[in-house]
Amino acid sequence: MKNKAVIRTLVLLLAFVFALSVTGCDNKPTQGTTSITTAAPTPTTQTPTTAAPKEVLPDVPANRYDATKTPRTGNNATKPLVVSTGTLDGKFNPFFYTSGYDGDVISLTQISLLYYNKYGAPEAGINVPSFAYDYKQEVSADNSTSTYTFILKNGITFSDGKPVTAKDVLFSIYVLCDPAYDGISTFYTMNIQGLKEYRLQTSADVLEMVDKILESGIKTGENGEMVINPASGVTAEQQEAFWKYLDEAGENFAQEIIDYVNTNYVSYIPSYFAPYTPEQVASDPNLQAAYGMVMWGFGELDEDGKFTDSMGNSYDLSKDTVDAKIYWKNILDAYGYDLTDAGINYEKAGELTIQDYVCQAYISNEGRAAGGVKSISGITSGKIVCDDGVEREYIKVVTDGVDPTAIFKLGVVVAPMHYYTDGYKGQLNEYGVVLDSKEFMDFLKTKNSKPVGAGPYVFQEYKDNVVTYTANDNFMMGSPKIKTFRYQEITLGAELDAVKTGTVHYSDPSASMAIINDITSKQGDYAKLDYILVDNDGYGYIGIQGQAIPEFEVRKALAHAFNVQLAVDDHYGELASVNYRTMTKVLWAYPDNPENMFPYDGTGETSKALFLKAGYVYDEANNIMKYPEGHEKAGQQVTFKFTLPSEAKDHPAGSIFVDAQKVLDKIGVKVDIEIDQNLLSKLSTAYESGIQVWAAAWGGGGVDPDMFQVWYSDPAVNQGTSPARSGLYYLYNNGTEEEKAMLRELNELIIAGRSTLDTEERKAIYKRALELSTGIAVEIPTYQRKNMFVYNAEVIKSSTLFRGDDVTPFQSPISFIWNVELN
Amino acid sequence: MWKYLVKRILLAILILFGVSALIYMLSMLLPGDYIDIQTSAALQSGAMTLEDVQRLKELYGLADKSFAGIMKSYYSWLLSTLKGDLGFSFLYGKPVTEVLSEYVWMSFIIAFISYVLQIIIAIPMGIKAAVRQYGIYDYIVSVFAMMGASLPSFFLSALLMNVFAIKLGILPLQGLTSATILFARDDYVGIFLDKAWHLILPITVLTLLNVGGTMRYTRTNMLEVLNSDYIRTARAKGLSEKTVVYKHAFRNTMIPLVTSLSGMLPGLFGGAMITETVFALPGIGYMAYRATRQGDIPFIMGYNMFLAILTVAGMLISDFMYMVVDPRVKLS
Repeated sequence: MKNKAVIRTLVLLLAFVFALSVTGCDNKPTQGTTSITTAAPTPTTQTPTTAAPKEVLPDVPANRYDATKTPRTGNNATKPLVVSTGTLDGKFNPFFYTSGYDGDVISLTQISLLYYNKYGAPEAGINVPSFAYDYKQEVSADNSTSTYTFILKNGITFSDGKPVTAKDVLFSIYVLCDPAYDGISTFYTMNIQGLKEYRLQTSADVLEMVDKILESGIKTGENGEMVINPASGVTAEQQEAFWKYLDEAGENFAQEIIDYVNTNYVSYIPSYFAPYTPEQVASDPNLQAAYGMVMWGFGELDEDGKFTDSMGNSYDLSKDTVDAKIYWKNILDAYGYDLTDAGINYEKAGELTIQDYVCQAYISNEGRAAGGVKSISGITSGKIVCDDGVEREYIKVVTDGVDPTAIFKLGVVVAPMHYYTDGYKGQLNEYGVVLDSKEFMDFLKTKNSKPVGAGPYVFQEYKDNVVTYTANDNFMMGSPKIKTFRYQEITLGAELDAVKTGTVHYSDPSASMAIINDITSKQGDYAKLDYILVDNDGYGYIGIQGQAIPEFEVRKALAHAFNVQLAVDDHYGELASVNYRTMTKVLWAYPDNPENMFPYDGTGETSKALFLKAGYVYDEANNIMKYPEGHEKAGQQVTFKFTLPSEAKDHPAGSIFVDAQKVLDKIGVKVDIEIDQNLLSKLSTAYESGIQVWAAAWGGGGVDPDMFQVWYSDPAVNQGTSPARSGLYYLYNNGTEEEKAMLRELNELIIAGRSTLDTEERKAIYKRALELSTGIAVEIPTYQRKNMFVYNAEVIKSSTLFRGDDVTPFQSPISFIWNVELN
Repeated sequence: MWKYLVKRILLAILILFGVSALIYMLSMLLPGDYIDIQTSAALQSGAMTLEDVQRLKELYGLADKSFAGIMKSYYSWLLSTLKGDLGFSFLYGKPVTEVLSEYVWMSFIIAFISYVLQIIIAIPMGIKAAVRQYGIYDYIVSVFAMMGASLPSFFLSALLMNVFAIKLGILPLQGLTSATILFARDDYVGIFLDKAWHLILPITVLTLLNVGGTMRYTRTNMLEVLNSDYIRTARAKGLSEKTVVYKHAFRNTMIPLVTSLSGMLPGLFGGAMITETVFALPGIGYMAYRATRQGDIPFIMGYNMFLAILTVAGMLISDFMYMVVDPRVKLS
């Protein structure tokens, strides 16, 4: 289920939609009257005792199906539902799985703190499959902290009958936050208060002191020695103790550059490091260090292979040692001891600055808190009496600043502590983990072959490429209607045949009109099949490189010659729709029915007017549009190169290009359509590679509409490569005043969109931001494609699947698997 | 002979050391290691920083790619391997030995059955073709054998799948079991028959692919023997053609055949990567292919060493068999 896999990863890792306002939990239809009266939960010991807690009933839907009372009948009891999956790794552990398919296998056995609905928006409540009964987000008045409170359901049990409690949530979080954790979750990157102190086992005081020491910094003395600048709030001894790690850190810093160069620039060795070969460099650390220095401009190699560093020292690489220590000396020689200097930080190979390295070395040697940091101060739990008079547990998480994506990371899978720690011989702390212990992490991995949780199904076995589950009749949303569920591994490309031949009942082949036509024809094996379409998380576009075509009017002229409807009419048919904004339509922030900013004009007149406005000269007698005076090609016919990665007839944008060629020909503009199979790999250096106009597609970028990476055009702030390929960095510095103003406004909107949790406010921000990003005419969106699910309608009861608008990239037809029935 | 065997075994150990060091070095130097592959999407989307990636590399022992670093990690791999611990597979999240023992039997069963079939089919065909050299039978068999041997396995698999599974619907498309049927746990016959039914196509593919080579080999050897003096003598003695061919000629053809067949030992356990992939079978060949693509060094090492040991053992057995089937050969 590749779509599901992608979706799950996206939802878990990145995104944000519909942040609830403080009163949000009251408004959800699923919530009934379960709003929380307290602004922030307080531990029971401090809770006013005016309302005595009521009898504790399980927080489950009133009409949930209970198979223990009403046993299943017919095929639901005797036949399995078989769904196709891609190749599994067999790493079925919620903490350590790496492939999306394994994630799917695990997810049937687990519940999460939050549920992410069909829009990708977080939800909690009795009628949704979340462990949270309710949740809320609050931002402090000065935006310095955000507080997330999750009220937990009562009476929920794991499939083995043991209760799910706050302890299990904390256990799951502490595993993900452990310094020895080596799975793919990035939970630990959140700005949770006290998380950094916990991971580094240091105190806030030490971190504060380090900040002060770094702020005052060091400089180069008269004789080239290191001089520590006077600082306030810290002693000279503290400063000295800190800076004595500079050389050690500097060598690590240099080593990272060496490693980076030798990992990423091996192919340049023949050009920049001859006579040495990649094999020689790979096997000799001296050569690696020297190559690292050459590539960063800290040395040169002569034809005989003799190396001279930037300080003028010569080395015979066959016997003299060149290493990170020498490299660091060269860096110091070039930039001195001012570590805030842009130069020294320009040299870094990774994200870490030299200060970060000193910090790391100092804290690991001297900055450890006495007695250790036992817990993450920003994560607390307790009990609270809710509005309905029932006492429930809660988890509170406080983060620094405002981060709309945090809510997507916080909805962690709630894994049973008792199962995952069962059999561990060592001493566990109160959260069920052993801090910074590889041995403990390895122990958790011994549970890789069998996931256990509170999800709708109970994992039975993974054998012969088939995963078998039986229903978890205790599942909070109700016993699954089908007793046995199976995943069967199917080779990529055989998904449709697998459903046709009855190998599986449900699959997701690559969508095509041929399949739709076959299924609707109801002939032969197709008679029993049915399909459901869903929007793909991504969109097609035509890029107009802003540096190659710097005149705003010319880019607009080209945009008006693109008939984007052709991608649908000539290529995808029912499987796509046109898109008028630089965002996938599946995101909640996509504006309602946006107008086309560049209406197609097949006569070419609109484009002609724009060329003329840009100063281009039209020779009516010969029907030739000429470059304006002052242009390097002044007087010549205007010519553009459109690049496609495959033949025009095979590419969705092919007919748009061919049509635009004809339209522009009417106004004397020449277009060459070029096929370049390596187009995608050239895009990161589009301008340098001579690419002017091209067609490509964006894949899903997560549930959050944040536009920073692709659209934030100030190169001093954004380090991403996307704005370079579209030419936005160039336009930000060299465009017309109109373009610069647009980009500045866009940048401000992008930052504003990142600084609030209010959905409606963000939606308005992105509506305007998308007008600007589309209007700058470096990327003309074309189509929004669809994916498909195919199933055996003779086996599966169609009415129990999600259909139509309910199916999105975030909710598949069988997302509520417990409701699905067999005929 | 014992001296010879001891010498060979010592040499084999040396070879295994060399092979392990070489494979380790090459695996470590592959561009884009396991962590790079796993984290590239998170890095691009900004969900992870290079610092996080570096931390993971350290946890996985992939951080130091200098010669000294590789040698250090090779040494620790070697030490634990000598203690019988092949490590923990990055990709499959289990001890390497567990993955190997779980998947190798599936591959072995397919390979073994197709190997037996191959012998049963190819040897008589080869003999008959040699006896009737340049006859119609010889031409027909040779052409079909060559066709079988030259077809790419994925093509032959797809062809057979299309005909027998999709068009005729008489054989299953993929997999090893019918997931849509719930067998009772003790329905051993039903489960066995279901698996056998699923294995018909893969075994057919492997047999068809290999029968041609063995047939040609038998035919060539048989022809050589049939032209020898002692066959002429046997015929001159007035022995029946059957006795000449099957008693005198065939037994001598066995010599090269047996030695070449014992060399196939690693092939029996190594897995059929493409066939296993196309038929979605849980075999070791496909597992190894995926592990190699993902830079799962413990598994790559475990699998390749397993194959290296089998290859060395196969060579040893081959020499030994040579001596057994040919009394003229003395190992020294």
